[in-house]
Amino acid sequence: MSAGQAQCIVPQEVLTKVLKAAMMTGADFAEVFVEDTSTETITMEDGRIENVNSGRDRGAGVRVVKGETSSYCFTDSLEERDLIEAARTAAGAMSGARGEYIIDLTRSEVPVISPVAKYPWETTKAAKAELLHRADRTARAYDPLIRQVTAALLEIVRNTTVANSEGVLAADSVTRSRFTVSALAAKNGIMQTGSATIGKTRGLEILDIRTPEDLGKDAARQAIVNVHALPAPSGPMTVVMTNGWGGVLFHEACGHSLEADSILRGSSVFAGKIGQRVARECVTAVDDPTIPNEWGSFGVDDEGNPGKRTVLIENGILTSYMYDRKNAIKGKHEFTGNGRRQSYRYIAIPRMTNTFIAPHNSKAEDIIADTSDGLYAKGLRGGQVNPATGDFVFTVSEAYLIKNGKLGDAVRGATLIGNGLTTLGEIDAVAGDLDFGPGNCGKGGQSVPAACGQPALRIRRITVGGTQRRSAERRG
Amino acid sequence: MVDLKSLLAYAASLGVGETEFYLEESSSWSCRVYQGEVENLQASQGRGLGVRVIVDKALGIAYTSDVSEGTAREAVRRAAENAKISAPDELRSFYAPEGGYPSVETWSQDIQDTPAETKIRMALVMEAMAKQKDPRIRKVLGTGIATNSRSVTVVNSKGVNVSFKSGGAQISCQVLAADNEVMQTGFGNQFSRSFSGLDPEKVVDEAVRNALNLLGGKPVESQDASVIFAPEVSAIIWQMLAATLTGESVQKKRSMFAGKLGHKVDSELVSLIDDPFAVEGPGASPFDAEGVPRKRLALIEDGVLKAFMYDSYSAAKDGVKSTGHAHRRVQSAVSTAPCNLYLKPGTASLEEVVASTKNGFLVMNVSGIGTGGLNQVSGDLSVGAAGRWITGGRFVGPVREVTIAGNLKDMLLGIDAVASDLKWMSMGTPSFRVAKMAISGK
Repeated sequence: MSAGQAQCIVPQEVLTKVLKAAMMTGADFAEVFVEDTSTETITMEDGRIENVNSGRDRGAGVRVVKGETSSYCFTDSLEERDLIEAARTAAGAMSGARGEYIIDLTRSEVPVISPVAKYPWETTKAAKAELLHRADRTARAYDPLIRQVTAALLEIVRNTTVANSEGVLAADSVTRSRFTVSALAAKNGIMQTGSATIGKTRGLEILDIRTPEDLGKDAARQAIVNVHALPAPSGPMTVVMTNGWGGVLFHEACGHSLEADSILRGSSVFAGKIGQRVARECVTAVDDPTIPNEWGSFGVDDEGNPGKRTVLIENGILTSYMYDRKNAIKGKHEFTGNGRRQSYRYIAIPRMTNTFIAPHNSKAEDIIADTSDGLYAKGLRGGQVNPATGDFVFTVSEAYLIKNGKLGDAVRGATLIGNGLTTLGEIDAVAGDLDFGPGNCGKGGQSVPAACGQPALRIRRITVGGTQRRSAERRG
Repeated sequence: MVDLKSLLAYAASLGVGETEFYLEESSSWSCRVYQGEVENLQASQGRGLGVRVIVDKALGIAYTSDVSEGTAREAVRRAAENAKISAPDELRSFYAPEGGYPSVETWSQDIQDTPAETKIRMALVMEAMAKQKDPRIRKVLGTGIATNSRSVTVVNSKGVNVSFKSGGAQISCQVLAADNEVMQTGFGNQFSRSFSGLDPEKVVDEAVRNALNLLGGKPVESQDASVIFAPEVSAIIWQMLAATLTGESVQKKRSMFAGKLGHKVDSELVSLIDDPFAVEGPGASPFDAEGVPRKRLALIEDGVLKAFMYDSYSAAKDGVKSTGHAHRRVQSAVSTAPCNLYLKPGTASLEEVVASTKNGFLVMNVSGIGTGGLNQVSGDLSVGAAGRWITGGRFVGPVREVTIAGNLKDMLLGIDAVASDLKWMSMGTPSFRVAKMAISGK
């Protein structure tokens, strides 16, 4: 199971029949996406194992394309008759007829991008529960102000098979594990939270990278920092961001606007700007699902196309967008392997995978030392963007003031708000310490695992939204 | 499909103490049109079965999307296995029926009977209409229509066996307005219990108005000002707030309202009610995810915190009865949540509220609120906002790229107007105004 090609979930002959049924009304293209996903979650609250949930999502979706129209139908069953019924329903939305369509499926070589050492079924649930207990105990022991600790382990094995009328047949199997600890600290009626997560396309060996104790302690530490923190300042500031999950800035501020659907609708600020300078020399940005074991990695995308490294911005110059099949054909571009979906219940759309700002030649400590007055954003939660305007906002989970090149007081409750294009142009220093964090990215009602990454970097000027007005502070 | 009665018997044969099944069956149809063509059509029948068991007072959970006999039995076995590592608790027990269920009628036959062609035509007409509304509307980015029906069945080994079918129709339209290089999107949508209740022109007007009213927005100077939250934004805030009005969040020390029952937590203008019988709302239903009958519950009345919501387990912990607020999806564990929330509208129209605002900000969009912008534990709020600036009771221009910040507790007590423009979306809410909040911009 651990090496070599993933199995086809449904036999090739059945897939061929389904595609023939889908092409019956004279479609240009048909595709069947089959999925069999097992999900295991264990959650702990208050030192007790609260919920242990095992799930199985098994089904298939059939897409039929004719001209500009596509039609989609899914079924929660892998029985041949149900698959063919779904194909007929999808085909039935088109008018037309044709004789038998020849389907000649050729199995693609799908590389194993993310080898797994400890599959979910190789560890007992009792042993997994103990891992949560270990994180919980460490977090509680960290400080008497810690009032509440929750921890959760998520393990997903997602098997997919895609076949289409152009002969593509590809199977992939991806195992993801994520371990999260959240802590709540309270003092004088002020309650603050902290959390720490590791998530990779791996098995339980993720906890060899960061132990449950390490994660528990980090979550508690953040909660304690925030409970003692001062209110965040507001107004335009220089912001230095730490490496790792902070890449969600680029993901939100620019990444979504580089997805081909918003480009081709003309509703993106990056439309028509290929070859133009959009950032300073120090900024190179990449989307790459082929990074071994990263959270957003896979062998083939959910349309059966191989995952590829796509350089989006090279030394400040815009070089590419991210495409699914439909938008690649429309935009006359090669497939980039960004066609993704939450499950067989959804149609694939262009999505990011592991998206990051590439390492450059600065050092994190030098960037801070070189900043006279600013905010150091050490932890971030999530964010949101309007792809048409590029306006974004995201929330800082751990932050410190920078005064004369040195870290000062911790501050809480800050948001960063700005515009994608503008902020991208404001990045003036990038370090070499690239790291990633796992996220779940929502778009069009679908959530997919996506990693955000970056080295430490500096944004010359960005609006910080806090409650403490800086001008008032200066006057006072 | 598996027979749930015989599946109960199967669970009993495994030595499971109590068993509960939550079955969802849905039928959905949707269509998106773009540039005069049907872009995407979807029609599907979905199903899913959630299983919960109690073995030796410990809870185990499993689910499956494939509800054939073999897979459903496998889910029961997995749930029983999972119970073995859960923490046992004497208070774990499923609901035993006590009397009947209220009647909630939300089904409209035209949801099922309206032909696809009629629905597609409505979307195409909306798109064409949107283009004509104003020369600054450069594009209609997407126009959608969807109808769906969903039936939920809860069966348990204590004698619950109930089903409820509901349905609805939705239309939406997103436009792109442009003035030279400046672009702005605008969105309009409507949820209706019947197809005949849809009002396409109103949705188009809303989308166009939202785009044009925000077009060319600029940051304002950082300052304190009155903030009016439009219904779309108001709904997000009240729903996040309601999530903390549960016995569960108090027990888990996550609620900023712990110990506040009977206290004034809001301006007296605020009454927040969960009403399962308000069929205009999408959550109207006769029973909850555990098969407990729903009832109307005032959470906040005239600014005073009146009640917390409970499911069976959190109720048992506090020695009270479930209020019928168990919530779940097939894939998730049971939690506590409101079913069909609304904020009681006031008497003044939004226009009157605006006219009485000296220096303020009508917030039409917020961003980042669900991704950490509102800390439900501390109440700290800091979100990106776009909308229209108000000076001397009049709109003076669009605003974007600013944040509004404050603490929810202060904000709730500072509400000085609730308008009459109740709109049902995910919940029912009118616009409301907070006397003073911190706005940071330039």
